[in-house]
Amino acid sequence: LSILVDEDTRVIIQGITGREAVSFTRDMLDYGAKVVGGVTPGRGGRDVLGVPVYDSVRQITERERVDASVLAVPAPFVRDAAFEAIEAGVPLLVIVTERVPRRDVVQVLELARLRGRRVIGPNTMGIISPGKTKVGSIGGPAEDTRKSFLPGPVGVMSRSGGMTTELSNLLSQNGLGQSTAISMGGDPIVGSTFAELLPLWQGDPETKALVLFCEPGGPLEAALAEQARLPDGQVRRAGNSLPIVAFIAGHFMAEMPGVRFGHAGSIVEGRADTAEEKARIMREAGIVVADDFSQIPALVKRALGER
Amino acid sequence: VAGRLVEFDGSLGLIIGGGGASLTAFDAVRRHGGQPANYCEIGGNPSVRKVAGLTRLILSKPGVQRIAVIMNVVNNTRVDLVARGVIKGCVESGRDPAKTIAAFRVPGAWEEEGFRLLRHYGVEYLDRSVSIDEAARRAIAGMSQGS
Repeated sequence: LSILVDEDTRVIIQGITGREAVSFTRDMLDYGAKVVGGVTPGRGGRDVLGVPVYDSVRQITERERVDASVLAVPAPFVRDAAFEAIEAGVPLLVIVTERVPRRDVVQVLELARLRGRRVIGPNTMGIISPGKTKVGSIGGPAEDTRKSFLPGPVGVMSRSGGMTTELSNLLSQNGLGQSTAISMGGDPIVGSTFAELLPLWQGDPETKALVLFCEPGGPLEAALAEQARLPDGQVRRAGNSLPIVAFIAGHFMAEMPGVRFGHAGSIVEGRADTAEEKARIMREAGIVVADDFSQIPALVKRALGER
Repeated sequence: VAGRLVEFDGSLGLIIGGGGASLTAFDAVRRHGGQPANYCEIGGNPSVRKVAGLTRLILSKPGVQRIAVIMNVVNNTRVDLVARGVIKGCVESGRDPAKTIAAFRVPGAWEEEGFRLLRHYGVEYLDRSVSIDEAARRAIAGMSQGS
């Protein structure tokens, strides 16, 4: 199994006629994703790589089931495109666009919450359930994607798109495949947090361990630690909680408060933002924190063996 | 997106990327006792010219002996263009790429072409079987051997 997306997931692409969207649509199709339609207002009736293009999301949802939409429209149009998908009943939005205005993101997330939709991103590379489907640009061309991602028992969540691939590649190189890998998006505000997705992983019988790539800045890691610590109220299997291994990059940033490195959301403004403090809080909650990136596979294997 | 540069005092020039891998690589260099001369993040498929310009800029700084190029497995950035840019920057700075590039670890799109080019110039490259922190360790081991 996997979470969020699998081989049956029916995907649409909003902004499908854009240059980057055409490129990742090709990669998704090559990987076996079920891309059932694209949307670009004013371009309805055409097709992109055999995928029919419509003027609106509703034109597609009226005639068939849509499980997810990838939003690749220019930043100023993301808010309206997301509203459209939400109101048309699409349950999962994957927003790949960078530099979406923060107030637009807040409005999108508020409407998504009211309507019960899930949002990944913005500024995400997408989601992959290896061997089944990929939604977004994650992994690049299908041939490259197959080199980095293998099916298996490890869930991956990463604040960095590139490190979603890198981390999965490291696991694959060490014989550890992935159930699903999620690029969370590198912005200060993203649609889904580590903590919000944790119950999905805990409820997936095929996911035996979870690996996280974390960065300085923001409350995502502390919120996860709090949630992981909760004794009850979550989906748990056979009395076992899911082992979590985390790596936190950017320790050096503690010496340079106020300077943004890497992603928009990666900045140290206070002690709670530092890699060191995040490591401390996560360890307190029973999360295994790797000191070196290449230790991760051994720590995952140990966690799997202990179960 | 290419070319965010922050200066440090060390002797090892760094060209790193993308967003998360650059944080990982910089930490790894320091953890293994390396002295970074700079933090220079690239991404978003930079042109050969851009990478060559950054390489020249980093090598022009007094005390910079060698340069390490470390990125995550890339999907959108082309390995061969990064390789070409770094080699061009070395040559234009009057340096031998084989002696100047302490590590080149950029696997992914167009890697066969990139690796072929690096071989041609006698530069040792590291593929996806070598992790980011192992690449940093090797770059620093190469530095201490002196050259």
